[in-house]
Amino acid sequence: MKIKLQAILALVLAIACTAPTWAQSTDSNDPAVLVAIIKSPDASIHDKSVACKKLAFYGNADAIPALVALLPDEKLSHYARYGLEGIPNPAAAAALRESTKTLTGRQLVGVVGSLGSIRDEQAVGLLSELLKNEDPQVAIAAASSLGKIGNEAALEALKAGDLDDIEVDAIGRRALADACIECSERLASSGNSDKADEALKLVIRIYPNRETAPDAIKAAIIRALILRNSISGPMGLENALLDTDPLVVETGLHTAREIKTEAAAEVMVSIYDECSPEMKIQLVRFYGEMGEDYPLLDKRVELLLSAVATDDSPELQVAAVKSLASLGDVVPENSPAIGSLLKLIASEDEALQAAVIDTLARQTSKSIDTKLIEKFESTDLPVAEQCATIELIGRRRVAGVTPRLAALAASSDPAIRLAAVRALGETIALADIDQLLDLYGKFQSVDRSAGVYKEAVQAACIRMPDLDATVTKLAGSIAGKPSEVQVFILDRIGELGGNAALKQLAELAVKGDAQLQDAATRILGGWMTADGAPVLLELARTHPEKNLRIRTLRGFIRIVRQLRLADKERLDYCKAALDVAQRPQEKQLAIETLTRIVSIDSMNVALGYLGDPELKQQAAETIVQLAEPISENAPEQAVEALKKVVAAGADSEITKQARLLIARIEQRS
Amino acid sequence: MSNSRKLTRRRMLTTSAALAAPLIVPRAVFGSEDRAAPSERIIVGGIGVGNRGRRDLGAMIQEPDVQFVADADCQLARREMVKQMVDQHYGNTDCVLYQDMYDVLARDDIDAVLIATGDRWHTMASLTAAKAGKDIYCEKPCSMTIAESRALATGIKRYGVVYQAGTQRRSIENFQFAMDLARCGRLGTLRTVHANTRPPSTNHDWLPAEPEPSKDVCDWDRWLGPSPWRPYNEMYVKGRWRGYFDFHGGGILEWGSHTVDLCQHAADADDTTPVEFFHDDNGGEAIYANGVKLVMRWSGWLGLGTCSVRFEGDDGWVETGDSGHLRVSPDSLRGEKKILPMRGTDPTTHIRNFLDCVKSRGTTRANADVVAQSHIASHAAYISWQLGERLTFDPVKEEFIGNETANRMRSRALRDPWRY
Repeated sequence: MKIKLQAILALVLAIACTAPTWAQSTDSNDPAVLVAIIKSPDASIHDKSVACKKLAFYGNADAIPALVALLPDEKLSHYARYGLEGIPNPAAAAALRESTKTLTGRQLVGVVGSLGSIRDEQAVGLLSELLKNEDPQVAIAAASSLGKIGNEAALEALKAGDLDDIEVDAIGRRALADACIECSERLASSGNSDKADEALKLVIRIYPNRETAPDAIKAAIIRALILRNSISGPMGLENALLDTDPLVVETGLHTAREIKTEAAAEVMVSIYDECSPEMKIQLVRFYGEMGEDYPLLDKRVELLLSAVATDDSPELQVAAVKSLASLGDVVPENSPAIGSLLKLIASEDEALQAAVIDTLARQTSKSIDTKLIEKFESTDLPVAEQCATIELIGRRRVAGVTPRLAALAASSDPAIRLAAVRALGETIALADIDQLLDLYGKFQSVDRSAGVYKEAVQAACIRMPDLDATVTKLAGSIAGKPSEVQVFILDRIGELGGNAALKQLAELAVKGDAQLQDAATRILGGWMTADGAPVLLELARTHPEKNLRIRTLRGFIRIVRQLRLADKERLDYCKAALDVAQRPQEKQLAIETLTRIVSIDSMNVALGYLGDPELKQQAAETIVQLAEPISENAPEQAVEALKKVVAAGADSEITKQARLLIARIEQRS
Repeated sequence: MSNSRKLTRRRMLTTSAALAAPLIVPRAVFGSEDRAAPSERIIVGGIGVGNRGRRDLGAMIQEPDVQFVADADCQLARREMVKQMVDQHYGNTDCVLYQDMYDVLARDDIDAVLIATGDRWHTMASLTAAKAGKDIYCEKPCSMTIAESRALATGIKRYGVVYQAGTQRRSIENFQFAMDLARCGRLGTLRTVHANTRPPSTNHDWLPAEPEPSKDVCDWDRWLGPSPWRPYNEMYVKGRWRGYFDFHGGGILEWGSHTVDLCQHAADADDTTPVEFFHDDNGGEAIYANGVKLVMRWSGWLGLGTCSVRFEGDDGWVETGDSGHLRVSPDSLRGEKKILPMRGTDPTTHIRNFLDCVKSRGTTRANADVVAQSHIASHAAYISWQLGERLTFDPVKEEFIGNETANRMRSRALRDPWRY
């Protein structure tokens, strides 16, 4: 009995909270209807909340009194403000101001915040008074709102609310400072620079001891001063960057990214020679990050190239080379810097070497290829330099080097061997791709880095212009290869995707030997596009191997569950899966997939399985999940289906959910 | 040492720059081959790290220059999962848990925070972190409204912190390649950019009320944060909060925060938004001032994975998605660059970009300025869909022209006591 009572109570509570007696009305955007809802003693709190929110968008002056009446309500106060903030009528702001006379606590804090959000200039006097409110949360909210209003009167109010009048603890002090900074920004953006500066000075008054000011406040002030003083001046960009305080320098660097003028760029390049080595690194990074559109590109490139030539700071060199890379193709044809960069390929500093290769790979200068091939053909390079040279050959996709690369790919030195394989991946032609596949067969079990062969073949395949021709070529290479190479080729075909790949894999899934069938069905099972569905379904129906039928069926259901299909097609596929499935596991997956299709047809399919003991539970869950959205347009069918769930006797939780839903739908209807 | 001059890692760099006497400590003394010395590590704390957040966290703690030290969450089970993951990674029990994010933000040793709460909290938590001077990696969508998008960008700039939105596709090679093709003119004059979005609708329903758990297990008031009050139901806190208007910005924003963002970049429109928005049954459309069309649709894709984008110009097109695969026309464009599939959901390279910028004070790929614009575009498209009207938008004033209702939809009141 106790359990029954609890269930009834829960039901009543659920209905009280969610059963929208005014559900039809909350669909309306008519302000009069919405106002009627919030005034009605019969409307649920839910419906009142929806009405308030809608009044924010559709309400007019007539709605204001009803909304104001909700401001003291603990649950609905925020919803009332929601409505009032949205109504662009001076009466709404006036009502909010008026309400501050009677509200307290969180509700008052909320209203004070709203006055800031709507930037109610007439509230400045009131907020000024509230700065002295005994509730610190109210005082802090008032300060914040004054900052948002951000006019001269607000500034005067903030000044008056300064440390003399109210007890300001750390939190209050911080709130005042934040408000002053925001106020300063708003004054500056309205062209009132003098008052904007006054607001900043007020922050300094709030934190007379610079050491105790939070870093974020200091950073905000420094940024504001830099933006205000721009380039020169006591706190302009140049002075900030040359300051001895690291916070000032850091903020200067950060703010410099906001000032994209020629004059600012001039500062950024002109201070380079005066800076410490560490600061030079930061500047060099800046030159690259700002990209081609930032002013003084040529000068920045010149400084970067000079930094590349610096041989006493590898970190600076790395930063400079990386910046060159990020600027793209900026090294002039026949620039002497090309020689310097090519020399740095031999660097023992791996980071520097990698950055150089990346940079040179991005340059279109033809002279790089000429010098690079000379280096590549030289036979007396140390191994590390030879490997780096080979890598750059690959990255630049230098033509006509396949024979030498193929020879190096058989080198006894594994480093050279792998570098050559990588470069082959970037340069080999489709006609020669068998060479790469043979290298995989020969060395993949020897070299620890077998992934290199995979990546090389991937890289070769992905850049071939004709996708189908690539698939055909790979498929044609399968015959006669060792079985692990055959599987390797199949995986590459799968990665390429497309119709030709799908066709080849479907064929091998049936006609290949056991290992190829296994690989082909595995790849098809993870197919990324919906065109794999009919192929997998056919295999699930007809494949002679039971395990592979199950695998392909699960792959088919995965596509039906996850990929984008039209509802009708998805439903047909679900039915097909249920028809083909032999085991309850796959049937359950198919029934669960029906939840993706909100329709009476899909619900009916699930209903057909309520009588099956092994599928009843999944069918019941699916029906309950579908019934809720279906009930919006077809409440009777939804209730009928839910009653069948209750009658079927699935587990107690799902039965309980079905009952609750029936009650909600019937109440709503 | 005063809190204002505490020498954090990121300050170390510029301090030594200013003093012109870099402190060189051999890495082997304090670090190891693959771990940065403690003084070089970025100290990170978490806020609201759940399912997706743990994916970010997993990538973050793999970085040798990151030390994750604390997590705050209003749900006990979630914060304990984070601790288990972090402690297991470092082989200790040092990860400190808090219920209140202010405890993480109050720690002077923490340089940056990973914010992975629900959408309703993203702007509020980010701005609070910015006020505390923390650099921020925040999951997407980053705002609930047009007004929040602007407040976010303004606040981030104001306090000079580094911000990266979790729109990681900006840092993934196949998407970058596609955008580069569009930006550098390889597709000819760009005409149309397509963003894969989800159907936009949200609802005002409430789930049935359930008894609130104890505050230690789940602080429901804090979970709601600045969003409107409603009765507790476990489903919300277990992650099923999407689709509710109060918690979710709709399906256009859900994926558009990625894909519209990519389209904006491809169209060289990082600093603006379209000027017209309209829709039909298949999705939304928008037009930029230069005539480029932005199509937001949820069907008709080539099946290259979720969050697909497609860019079309006079001389060719490119389409790609989360599979990492790419389709181009003409085929000659394929040979431009090596592309290896990397899942579009993988945050690794994006997090690396964030960490590099924390050190250099540089601008991240998904900084608050570009994020504000792409979010404003997505919000505006959703407003057009809600109203069923063609809307004209002023990207400078960030207001609709001649439509008061649309303008009123640009913001929502925050629940007390929350404010930016």
